[in-house]
This record gives sequence, C-alpha cells and structure tokens, in this order.
Amino acid sequence: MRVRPRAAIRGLGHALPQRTVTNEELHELHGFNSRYIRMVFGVQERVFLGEGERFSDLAVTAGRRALENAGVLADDIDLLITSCCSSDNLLPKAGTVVQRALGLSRAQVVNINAACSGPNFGMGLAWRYIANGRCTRVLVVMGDTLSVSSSEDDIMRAAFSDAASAAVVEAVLDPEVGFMADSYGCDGTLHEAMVLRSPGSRFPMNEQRFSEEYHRTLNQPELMSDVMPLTAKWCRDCWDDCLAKAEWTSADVDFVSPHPVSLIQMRAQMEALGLGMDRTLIVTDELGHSGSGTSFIVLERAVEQGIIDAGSRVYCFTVGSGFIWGGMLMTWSPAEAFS
Amino acid sequence: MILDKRSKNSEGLLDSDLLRETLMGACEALMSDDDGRNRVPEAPLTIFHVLADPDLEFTLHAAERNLRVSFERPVDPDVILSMTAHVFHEIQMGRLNPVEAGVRGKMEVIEGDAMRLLALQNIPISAFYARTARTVGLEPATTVESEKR
Repeated sequence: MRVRPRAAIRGLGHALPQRTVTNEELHELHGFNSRYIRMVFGVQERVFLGEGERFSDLAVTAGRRALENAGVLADDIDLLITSCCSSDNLLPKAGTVVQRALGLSRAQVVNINAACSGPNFGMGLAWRYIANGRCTRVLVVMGDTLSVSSSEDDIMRAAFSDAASAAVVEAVLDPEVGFMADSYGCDGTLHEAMVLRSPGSRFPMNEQRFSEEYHRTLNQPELMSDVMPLTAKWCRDCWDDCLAKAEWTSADVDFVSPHPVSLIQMRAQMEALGLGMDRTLIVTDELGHSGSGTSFIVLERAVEQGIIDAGSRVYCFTVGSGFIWGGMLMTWSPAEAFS
Repeated sequence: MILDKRSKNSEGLLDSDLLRETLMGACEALMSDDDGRNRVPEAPLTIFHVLADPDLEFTLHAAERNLRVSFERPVDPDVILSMTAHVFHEIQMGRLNPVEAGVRGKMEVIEGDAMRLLALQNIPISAFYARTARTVGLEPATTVESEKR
C-alpha cells in the first residue's frame, strides 16, 4: 500500500569521532587477524570515540549538519526521531539531548532502538508522521558508539565503529519523488543470535561491574550462522516487495545501499539482487560499520560524489539485531520539490 | 569442556579416525534430511580444510543439493581454510562462532573468496555433525548446557 503524501530526504549530515584505529593496532592490542578483517569485513580502519567524546556530541553535530545541508532552521523541525542503542545514558535517551542542543523547540521527540536498522525504521516512521499530516519536516538522527559499550577485545571492534548521521525528511507534493515504497520484517527466533548485554535488566548492574564478560558481545554461533546468509534473503525479500509496491523493475533502480555490516555481506546482498558492486558505494573500508549510523553516510557520500542526484532511484536496506530489517525505495528529490 | 577420553589420544588431541567418521556421518545424515538437503546449494562449492593437531585434510563438496566429504586435496577449491582440529570441532559443535575464530586468528582463510564461506554457512552441517559426534564418541553423549557457553 502506498503511503501519501510523499516524503523525501532534503538534507544529510554526519559526524565522526576523533580516534582512528587501524587493523594493525587491533592486531597489536588484541591479536586480531588483520588479513581476515580486511577480507571478510572489508575494513582497513575504523573510528572510535576519543577521550571525553560522547554519542550525543556526534548526534548533535550530525543533526546540525543535516539542517545546514537542507537549508532549514531548527524551528522548522516538527519532530525529532533518534535511534541509538548506545546513548550517553540508559535514560534519558539521546533525543532530548539533541533537541535541547539544536534548539528544536517545536519538535516532539521519539526515541527508537532499532539497532543497525535504525535508518529504515526512522525514515519509515518519519514518512508516516508526514503522511498523517502531523508533521511537515522531521529530523532523523541515527548512530551508535558501540566501542564504549563492549569490552576492549570484543570482536565487534573489528567490524564496528562509532558515528552519527542524520537526515531531514520533508513532505513533498510531487508524487514522482521521495519515498515510494517500504517493507519490513522480523524474526524473533533469532533474538539470541547477537546480544550486547550491557546495560540490561537481564544482567544486573552489580554483576556487570565485576566481570568484563558481561560487556562482551554474545553470539549464539548456530543462530548467527543462520543470520549471515539470511541477510541477503531479507534484502531480496524487501526489494521484491518494494518493487512490487512501487511498480518498478530492478532495472529502474540506480543505486543500492545494502546493509553495510561487512564487505562479504554487502556483496552477498548485491548478488541476491542480481546487481554488481558498481551500483553501490563502500564506506566501511575507512569508517567501519557504525550500527545505525552508516547508511545515511553512504547516501550522503553518494550525493557528494554525484552518484545520486535528482531523479536517481535508490534502494536502502538495513538489518538490526533481534532480528529486524527494512528496505526503502525512493526517488531522489530535486531541491525545488521542497516548499 | 571435557571430552570423552575415547575421543582423544594420549596427547589430548582429538582422534582423527573419529573425526573422519563424524564428518562422513554428518554428511550422510544431512543428505537424509529434506531441510538439510534443500539448503545445500545448487552451484558447486568446494571448501578444502587443512586441520592440525591431529593433521587431517578433507574437502566438503557441495553441488546440486548434494554434499559429500572427501579426504583428499581438490584441484581448484573455492576456499582453503586452516585451523586446528579442536577449533573446527568447537565451531561445528556450535560453541565457537566462525567469525570470532577468524578475527582472533584461530581460523585462517588461506586462499579463495571469503564470500563463498556464506554459502558454506547456509549448509546446516553443524547440527548433523554434533549429533554424529555424540553417536561415534567424539563428543560425550550428553553435554551439560553450561558447557555450551
């Protein structure tokens, strides 16, 4: 079912932390295998929070840059949606910090925690608020800083990094531009496949304090083995669903942002769509995968490099722990589409 | 984890004969299972494993929904993996994430396209391996739940 009126991305921005960590440093520190990391994750280096940096610092900067990029003012924002599973604090979540820092005095705040699939759930939610006529302009701020939520030698550090990114999503009247179709999925039987336990009521804080083990990513190997090939299938399922809803064919799509968790996963997703890697852009080689923060960076860079421009047809797909996933098909909007 | 004494030699290494038996039994059991067989890819996939302690070389051949193991070096494998027999066993028993094994240097991709490992991961051989390992005595018949972590 098509959701009307249309909404589209008007501006994008992101922020990276100070500290760059190479594979060689991870090898020196924890014996991680640099060659395997390059081969499987495609990551050469990643960025981690530096001394004194917090997620909210990145989120605020990313939000400000997206507003500037869109050419809109803080007062123009009706709603702020944030997704982060590694906020500054257990509560309150990042949304109110960002709202205050950016002076979004008119904006309601919705915090979601969709793990790495935040961008798709954020865009989908923004679209529905706009379609319902409750909002005209939504700031969607995504990101994660998992380097400080896990143990120093957690293997998550090989693939993951810290970053925040943001998109201004705005109502458009032209039915030929903006979000055209979206699709979502969930498989709770894979809930235990990848768990980051801290902080959580299942593992009380007084126990966490005494053991580094509590801060280690918990993978259920058998389930995780299921998830990895399934990611490509989910990407294809959403793709098929979106194409059918939009009444497009795969040949109509110019650019794809697959779930950017690792190089082999991206390749598998593109292969599942029957597309070559020339239809996407890789940023994880230099930035790693910052959970929900990466996808908007992929889109932003593709716009900067002229790969995406007005009229480009784009598919964006993300997967989050749990497991949940979403795909979005959109036509990139020209500046004049916005009021 | 404590293994059945029969499964190890005097140096505490896994018994290579039992390992062979487990691999062959796991492939046979998978091929007898509709769901297992359906998850074997149509496209040919050849993964050559070089295990140490004890030394054992074997190849998993998957093609046209058929999976078999041979104990020889293939001419042109898609991927060559190297690890100790213990690491291989722990991965197959579901106690070690293969990605963790790779990142921590316990498993090496010696040659080939790592993406082909995704196709290997789609084959649910571990479940059949674990069952067969218990049947042949490579693994104790009952494993305490806490040992799985």
